[in-house]
Amino acid sequence: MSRVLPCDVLVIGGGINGTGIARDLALRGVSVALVERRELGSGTSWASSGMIHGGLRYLQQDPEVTHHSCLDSGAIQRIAPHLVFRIPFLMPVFSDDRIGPEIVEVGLEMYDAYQPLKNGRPHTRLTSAQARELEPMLSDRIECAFTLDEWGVDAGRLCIANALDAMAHGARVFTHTEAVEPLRSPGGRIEGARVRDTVTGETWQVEAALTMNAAGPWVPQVSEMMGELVRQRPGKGIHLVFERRVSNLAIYARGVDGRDMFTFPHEQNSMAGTTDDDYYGDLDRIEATEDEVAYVLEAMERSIPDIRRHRVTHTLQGVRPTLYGFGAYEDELSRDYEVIDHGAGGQAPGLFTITGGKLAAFRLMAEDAADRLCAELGNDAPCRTAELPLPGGEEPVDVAALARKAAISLPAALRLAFRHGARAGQVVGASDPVQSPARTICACEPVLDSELRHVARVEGVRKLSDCMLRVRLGLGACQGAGCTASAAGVLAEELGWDAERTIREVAEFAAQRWRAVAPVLDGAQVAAMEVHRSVHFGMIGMGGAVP
Amino acid sequence: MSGALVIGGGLAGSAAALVLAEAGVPVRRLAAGPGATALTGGSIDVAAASPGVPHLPWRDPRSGEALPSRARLRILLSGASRHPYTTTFGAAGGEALAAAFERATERLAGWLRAEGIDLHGSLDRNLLLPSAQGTLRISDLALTGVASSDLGGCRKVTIVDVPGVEGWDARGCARTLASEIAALGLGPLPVEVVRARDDRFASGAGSPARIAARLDGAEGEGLLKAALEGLGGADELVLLPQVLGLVRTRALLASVSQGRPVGEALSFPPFALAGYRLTRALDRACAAAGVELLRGRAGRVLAAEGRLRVEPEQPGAFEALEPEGLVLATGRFVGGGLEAGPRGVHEPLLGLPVSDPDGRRVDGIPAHRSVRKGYANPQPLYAAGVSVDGALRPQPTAPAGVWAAGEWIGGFDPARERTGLGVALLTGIAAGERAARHVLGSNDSGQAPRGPA
Amino acid sequence: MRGYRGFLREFARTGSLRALVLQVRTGIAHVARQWTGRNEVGNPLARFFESYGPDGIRPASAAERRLRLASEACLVCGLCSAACAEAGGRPLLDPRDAVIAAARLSLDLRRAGLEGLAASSCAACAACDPVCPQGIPIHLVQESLAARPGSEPPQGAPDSGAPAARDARGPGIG
Repeated sequence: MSRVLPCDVLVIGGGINGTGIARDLALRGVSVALVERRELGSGTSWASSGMIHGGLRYLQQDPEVTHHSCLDSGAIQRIAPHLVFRIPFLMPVFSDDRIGPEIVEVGLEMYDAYQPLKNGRPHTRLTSAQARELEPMLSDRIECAFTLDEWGVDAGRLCIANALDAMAHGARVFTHTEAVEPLRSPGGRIEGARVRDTVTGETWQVEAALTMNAAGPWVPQVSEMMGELVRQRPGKGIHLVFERRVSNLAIYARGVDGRDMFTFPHEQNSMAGTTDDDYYGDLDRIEATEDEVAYVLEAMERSIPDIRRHRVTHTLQGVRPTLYGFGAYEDELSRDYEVIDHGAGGQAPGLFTITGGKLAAFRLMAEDAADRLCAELGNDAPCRTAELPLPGGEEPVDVAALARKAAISLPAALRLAFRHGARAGQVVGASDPVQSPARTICACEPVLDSELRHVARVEGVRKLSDCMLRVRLGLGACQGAGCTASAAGVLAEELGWDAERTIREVAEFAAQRWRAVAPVLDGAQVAAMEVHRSVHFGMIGMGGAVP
Repeated sequence: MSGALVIGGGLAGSAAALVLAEAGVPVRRLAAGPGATALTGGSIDVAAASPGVPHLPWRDPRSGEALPSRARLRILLSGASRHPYTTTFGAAGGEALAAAFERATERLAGWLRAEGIDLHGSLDRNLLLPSAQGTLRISDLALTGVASSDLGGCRKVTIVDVPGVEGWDARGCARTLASEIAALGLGPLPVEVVRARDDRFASGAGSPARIAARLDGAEGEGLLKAALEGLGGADELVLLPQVLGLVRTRALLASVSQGRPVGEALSFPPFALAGYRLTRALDRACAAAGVELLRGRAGRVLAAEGRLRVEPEQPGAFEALEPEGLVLATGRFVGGGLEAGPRGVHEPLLGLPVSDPDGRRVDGIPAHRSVRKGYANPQPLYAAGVSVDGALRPQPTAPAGVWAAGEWIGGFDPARERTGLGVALLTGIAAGERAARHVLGSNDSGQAPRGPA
Repeated sequence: MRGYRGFLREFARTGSLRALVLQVRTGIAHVARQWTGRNEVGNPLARFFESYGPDGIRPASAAERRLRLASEACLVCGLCSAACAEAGGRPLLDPRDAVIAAARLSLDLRRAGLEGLAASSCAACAACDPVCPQGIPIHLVQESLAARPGSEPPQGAPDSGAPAARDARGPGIG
């Protein structure tokens, strides 16, 4: 008899929706099990631009949406202050733009009224010369420019923080575990799912009163498995990731088709994007294509003529779980979300689905979904996700003191405090009898020995590739040439891997990086990958022992 | 300017410059940086065995007998038609190639010896070198430091655990090494991890380079002796990370070995010091031989009326040079011999075609179009370079008086095949010899392809 | 008003009545302000820096930007750290870490009030520069980290006349 886990709600999908809902429910005292077939947040959440904007663009459609977005952006800043960073935007206006500067400024003046809700700053209007003084990379063809204020977030860590808090309140979270078939009562009610651990191959059961399908772009697949039809209009989006910050400002750019895009700072890098195209391909093998990359670069070049001189290390790609709509262009599709009760009208009582939506609205969406589930469960506890801090967000960190106390470098302390907030001190305490907790594993991020031990012991990391999202391993200039082997060594020790598994994890990680690098391989990155290959083939001996 | 110019600061360029200088030719070596040579893990692989190249095994799959590099060179010549070994020695055969290598190795050993580095090994015996990750690499030549960690004839391995050293995980190394030893059937060869008795030599340093600099200092020998006290024994290897000095490796080893093998693990950037030591020694050997060392990046090579002219990439960075003979050893992408950018992949100095081992051109198109999906697949882009004839003259259109050396020559993948430094050494010396003959007046043009004299 | 028609077309497709009311109200106020000249209060750029100064935002000098572009070519090979160690350097940040930190963390360092500490003990001996395969002027990167906010760029920064890097490979060193 296989293992059985009983609970109130089974959440399928560990992206921002799944983890957000799990946290909301757990805080209300609901017992939750979450299964994620890969790593938490590794799908759409990870590929997003990581912006919790206030919805400037909704002002012309529905100011109410802007109001809510700004309120919730403020809430996320309150509960996860360590994971957010301010992004000043620079919006150049060109003489051949469809919309002139006065109209733009009216829009920004409207937006200014909402800025205080998210701790934002009012816009400024700059002449062409002033704008180029602020950001000399800007094209000299601009007519004038505006600045406005938005916020960015580490979407991967935001998922982890939600999952950690859910776990702290009794939820069980299983990564690399996929739902394979529904459990049905004789009456046809969905009562959880049979799940499979993709690492061990073990199959077991989660018995749940309610099941929430929060699988993002995989929602239609999961629904189909449950015998239900949910349609989406999946929209693929890619970002180019630069080796470092090209600018501390985000800069608007316009694509040849008139779409708005940006080059924007994200943590230690800049990113450029994004695209939005109907996607019909394999959701588990999403790759950026040459034409998408060219389209983004062309758009960026109009605002930043020199952009191609900057080194792109890799791409991020994902698929938006956009609500189905017929007869509209991708950009015109609603970014709204829907919570579906498959008992009302459907053939699968007990099953709910959340689909559509945006990262910036995750908390509100989770609250709505949890309200619906709790109503079904007869639980009337209020939602508390807007007030209670996420793990690490409890109090600010004195970075200089942390660096001194743990004897680590300032950059290491800064990044540790960013990822783990108030718990950074505890993270560097994850010790080993011999290895120094301060040993540098990855110089680019940086990542320390103790942080890897912490994510293995406390956060439930199961594969080397999980560390890419948890601690940004292998995302720097060398794409893991220097760090993957060392990191695999630490995980091997913590998770009990044998030599063969360790090398396999390294090989998988390298292959994953190659998929993200190859579509944009150019400039200095070609040399970096030359080093990467000689490390992996020549030194680590990828391919196993010599025959 | 009379005399010769070598462009490239790695093993190929340095070897060419040293050969020219020893032949009595006034020679300058222009280098923008140390190139890929500085990133070596500690071995100089002539014909190493690699998991990426199953047809070049380390022992005969049928008889189980060890297959040394001399035999692998023969196999290599019979197969890879565009490998520089084949281009230069395909007609002369494997024995001639091996003989050329023996001469080349002797010369390299001579240059390095004076700078405190010995070259160990031969084409007749495989070195079994553990990497810092615990994988076993089959090599033929190795530098002081790494060379003494050869597991051949070893009865036991003691891996020294040193806390806090970047790139060093003694327990992980031991786990993998034990498994590799079992997989290769080398046993019984026990592997143990021992904490350094006295870790003052490493404390608070973090990076291998800082520890090495400390060990180079006056107290270095004492600190290291204290750390290794009581470890190892006759035929019992004491394995360390690459920390045994930046400049005094040989002296340090001589003083602390005391009848037991003490060695460093093969390492890779940014934790390797072997490449730093090697390029440092080559630079000093060049200077000692009278090579004038110039720093700068060449922009292009022009030829008019039978004269060569080398201009800087940035106007005014250096005076244009007009050598009588020119050896180009500019490497691939790390070295700058190939560039990838808005013009696609290209060879910047002469605008030569760049082709992969199948003869397909990769120049003029973006780098990403020449890569294949699947990291472990052969990648044409990383096996591509310029083509040469049997006399190492770039093809098809290079001006007279120009020779090619090192990884700049295409037709092989240095990462998978692990013949990068072997090619650098062989072609560097050969190109230097040809350039010397050219400058000294014995006309070398139009001769049939043949091996270096 | 240029572009108003384009806006109207877009609005007609997606806009709501409530949005229209708000827009008309803000638009009238905007036009009124323009007529009365109340927009011209102070230098907007100065206002921007006043507002974003605490976040560490400041304009990068031309030299800093060239240095940043050159640093992008880093291969994380660690040779600079070896050269620094051989030269007996004792910088707070290893040159390798400084190149990484330079542009990626400059903002965070400033926000945390730590800028200027980072490289305070680099002796600027430049032993690191010649070993860089990518030709990054590493000791200048150290200097730029050590510089206090608003101070002049380090002396000897790459000349403004020459392109800083070709194909993002880093500048040639003469």
